[in-house]
Amino acid sequence: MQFRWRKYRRGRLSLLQATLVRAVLLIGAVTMAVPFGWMVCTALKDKRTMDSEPYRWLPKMPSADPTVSWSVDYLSASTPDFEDVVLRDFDETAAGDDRAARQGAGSLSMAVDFAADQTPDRTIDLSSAELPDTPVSMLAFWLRGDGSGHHLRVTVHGDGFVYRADDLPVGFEGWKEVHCYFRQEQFDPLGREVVPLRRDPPGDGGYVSLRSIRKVELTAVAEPLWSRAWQRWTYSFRKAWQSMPFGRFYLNSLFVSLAVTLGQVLTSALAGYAFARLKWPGRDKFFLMYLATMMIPAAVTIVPTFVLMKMLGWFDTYRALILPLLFSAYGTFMLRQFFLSLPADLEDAARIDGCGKLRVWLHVILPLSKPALATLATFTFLGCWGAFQWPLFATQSMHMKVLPIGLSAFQDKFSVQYNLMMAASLIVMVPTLAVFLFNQRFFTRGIQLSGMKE
Amino acid sequence: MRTFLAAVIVIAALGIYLLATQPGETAREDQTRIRFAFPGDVKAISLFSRLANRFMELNPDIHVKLEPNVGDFRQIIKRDLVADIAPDVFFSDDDYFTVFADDGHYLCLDELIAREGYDTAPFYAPAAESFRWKGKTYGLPFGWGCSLLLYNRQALRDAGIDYDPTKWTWEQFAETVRRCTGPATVKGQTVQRYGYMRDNSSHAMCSLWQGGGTILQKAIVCPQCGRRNDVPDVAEPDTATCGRCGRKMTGGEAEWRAACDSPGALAGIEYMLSLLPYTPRAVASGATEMPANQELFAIGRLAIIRGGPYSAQWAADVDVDWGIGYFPAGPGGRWTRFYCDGFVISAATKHPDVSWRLLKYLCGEDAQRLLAKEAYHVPVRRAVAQSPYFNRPDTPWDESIFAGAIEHVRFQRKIPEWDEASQIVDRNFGLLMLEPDSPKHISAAEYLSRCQREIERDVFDRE
Repeated sequence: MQFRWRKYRRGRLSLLQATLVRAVLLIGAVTMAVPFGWMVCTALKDKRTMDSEPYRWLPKMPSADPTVSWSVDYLSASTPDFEDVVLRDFDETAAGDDRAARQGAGSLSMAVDFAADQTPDRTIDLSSAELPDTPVSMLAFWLRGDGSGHHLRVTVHGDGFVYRADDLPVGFEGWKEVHCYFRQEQFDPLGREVVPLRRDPPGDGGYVSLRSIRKVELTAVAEPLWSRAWQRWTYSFRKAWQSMPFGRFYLNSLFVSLAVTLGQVLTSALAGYAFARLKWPGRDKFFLMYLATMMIPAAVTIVPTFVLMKMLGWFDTYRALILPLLFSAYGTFMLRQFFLSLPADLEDAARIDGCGKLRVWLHVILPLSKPALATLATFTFLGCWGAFQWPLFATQSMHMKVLPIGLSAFQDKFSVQYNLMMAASLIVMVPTLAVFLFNQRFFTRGIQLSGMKE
Repeated sequence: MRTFLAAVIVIAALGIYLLATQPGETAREDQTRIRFAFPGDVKAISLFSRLANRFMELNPDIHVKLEPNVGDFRQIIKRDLVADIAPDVFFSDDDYFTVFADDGHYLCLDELIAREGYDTAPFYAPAAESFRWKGKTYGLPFGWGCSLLLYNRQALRDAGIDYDPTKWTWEQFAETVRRCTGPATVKGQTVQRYGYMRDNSSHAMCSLWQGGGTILQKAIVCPQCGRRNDVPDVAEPDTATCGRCGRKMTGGEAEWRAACDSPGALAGIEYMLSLLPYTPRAVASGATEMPANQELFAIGRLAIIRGGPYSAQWAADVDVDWGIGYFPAGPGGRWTRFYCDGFVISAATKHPDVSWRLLKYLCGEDAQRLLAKEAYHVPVRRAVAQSPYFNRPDTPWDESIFAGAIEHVRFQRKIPEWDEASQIVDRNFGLLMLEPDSPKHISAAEYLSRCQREIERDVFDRE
C-alpha cells in the first residue's frame, strides 16, 4: 500500500490509479472484517436479541429500571434415579386442557422494586409438607425472567445445614428451567440455567434427604448497571465455557502445540543444516526424496500412522499427539533455503576457532537464523493449534481432546445457538489471533523464503 | 538459547501438570473396566456422563470409561472395529446397524435375553425391531424420533385455517400451505410469508409412502412351493406364511428389490412437487439448510416447518406461538419416517456380562426418565414416553403428540445396501428439484423410473 502511494508521489501512478488501488484494498479489508465483526457481535448477544427484527448489530443494554418482575413455578426435586418429586406447583388452578396457559397463571410472583426498599425475598416453606425420605440430587424450578440482569440468589435451608449458590444473573426473558445441583455435575446441559449449590457446613458431597429440607429461599439481588451489562455481554462465553471442559482442551492444545513447535523447529533446523552445509554422498538426491514427501496428502498417511501408534501402544496418549508431527519436510526445506543464504565465511571462521559441526550449528547458524526459526515456529504453532484430523484419530478419552475437537463437539446439530457457537469459536481463536498479530512479519517472511504457505 | 530453555520449561511444566491431573480412568483392582462410546455432542456428553456416573454408583464393581467421539461416529466405530479397539458398549443408529450386524461385529443378545427372561415388550415395536437383523437381536433401543410439523398458530389463524394439524389430509394441507403463502404482517411489518419448506430426499420418501408407494420391497421365497411372497420389512422366514401353500416359510430366502416406480409413488412425488410454489426458493432442501428455515420460522416468515421431537428445544426459545402437527394423510396413509438410536455390544468384548448390565441400564426405566426430561428423543419405553417425565406438565407444549406419532411411523428396514440405494435416490432427487427449464431437470415419473432402474442395476446387480 505504502509502496503504491510512494509510486504515486513519485509520479508513476496517477491520482485516479492510486485512489482506485486504495478503494479496492479498502473494500477487500471491509469484506474480510464484516464476518469477523458479525462473529464478535453475535457472541455478545443472547438468542432473543439475535432473532429480533430488524437485525441488531450490538447487544441491548439492560434497562436502568431498579425493579424486577419475575415468576417462579413448578418447584421439584430429582432423585439420583431421575425421578421427580413435585414440591410446589403454583399453577394448580390453571390445570386443564389449556397447557399454554399453565405457565404463569398461578406462579409465585417476584415483583421487587429495589428503590422502594421492598423485601426482595420469597420463601417457599416446605416444613409442613409431607415429603418422602428419599435422597435427591437436584432442585429444579421454572423462572420467568424479565431480561433485567439482576441476580437471583437461591438458598436451601435444611436440618442443620444450608446450601448456598452463586448468584444467577437473570438476563433472559421468558420461561427457563433452573437446575440447582446439590452435587456438582461434570457437564452443564445446554438450554438450562445451572446453579451449583455449596453446603455449609461442608458435607461429604452426597445426596440430600428430601425430608431434611425445610425451606427454599429465593432472593432478588440488585446489581449495578455496568455489572448487568457485563454479565449480559459475556453470557455466551460463560455458558460455552461451562458446557464443555474447555479449560482442559485449552491446556492440551497449548501443550501439544508448544511441544510440536519446539520439536519441529529443532528437527527441521538439524535436518536443514545437514542438507545445506554438510557434505555427504547422495545429499541432494536424498533431499529431493525428502522434499517429495510433501506431495503425499496427509489423508494417505493417517491410517498407517494410526496403526503404528496403536502397535506402539501410544494410542490415546500425548505421545501420539506430538511425536508424529515432530518432523516436517516443509520446515526442513524452508530452513535449508535460509541456511544456504548465510555466508559460508562465518562458518569457516568458527571452524578455524576450533568449533565442531554441532557447535557451529548451535552458536553460529541458529543465532543468525532467528527470523527463519520464528517464521517456522509461527507456521507450526498455527497449524498445530487448528489441527483436527490427526487429534481426532489419535485420541479417544475426553481428557485427551484438543480445542478444535472440543469446538466440533460443541456444535449441537439440533440447536441453532449461534451466539454460543461464536463465543466458543472466539475462545478457540484468541491464541491464533495473538500469535498471528505479533508474528505477522514472520508470516510474510516465511512466504518469501519458501514461496508457499504451509 | 534463553527462549529455547524457557519454552522447554513451560512445556515440561504443562506436561507434568496435565499428566498429574488426568482423571482416574483406571479401574480399581476389584472393578471390571468397560468402555462406552457414543457421539460426543454437548448434549450427549451431559446425558451419558450422568447416566454412567449413576450406573457406577449402583454397580461399584464396574468402572465405565466414557468415550465421546466427535465427527462421523460411524467412521470412528469402523476405525475401532478394524483396528480391534472397539469399545465394549457403543452407540448405534438404525442407518448403519445392519451393515455391522451383517459383518458380525455385534454380540448377539438373544442368549442373554433368554437367560434372564429380559422383556422387550415394553419397547415400542418399531424401536425394538430396529436392532434386529435376520431374526436375531443385536442391540437395545434407547430413543426414537420421527418427522413432524411445527406450525405457527398465528399464521394459520391469519389464513383462516381451522383444520386439525394432527388429522389433516393432503388436500387440506395443500390448501393451508397455499393460503399461508403471501404478504403477512409480523410485528407491524409486512413481510413475505411462506407456507411450508422444501423437502429433501428423505422426506420426499414420506410423500411417496403417503401416496401408496415404497422404495424397497422385501420378499420371501417359499422353500416348499417356490412362490415369491411380498412381506412387510419386519417379517422373517421363520414367522411368515406362504400366500400359496399356507405353510411357514422356515428356511426360505429373503430378498429385496426396488419398488419405486408405482403409481402410488408417482402420486406422492407429484404431490410434494405441487407444494413447491409455496416454499422459499432461496432456501434449498438439504439438511444443512435447516437453520435457515428455522430462522424464517422464528421470525414468523414460515408458517409450517418440518421438525422432530428434538425441535421443541430450539422452538422453546423462539418468539412464536407454535403447535405440533403430523404430516398429512394421502391415499396410502399418514406416513412419516422413523429413526431410532440404541446401543450394542462389541462381538470382541471380553466382558459380555458386564457390558450387558450397562446396556440394560442405558435402556432401562431410570435412564429413559432422564432421556425423557432432556427431550433428546422420544423414550423407547412406552411407559416412560406416556408418563409426565416426557409429557411434561411444566412445558407449554404437548409432548404427547410427539409420542402419538408412533401410530404413523413407517418402519423402513435399513438393509446393508440401503446406503447405496439412498445415494441413488438422493442423486436423482437433486435433478428432480432443478428448475423445470434446466436441461438436466427430470420429471417425477422419470425420477422414479431412474431410481428403480439404478437401484436394481447398481445395488442388486439385476438388469
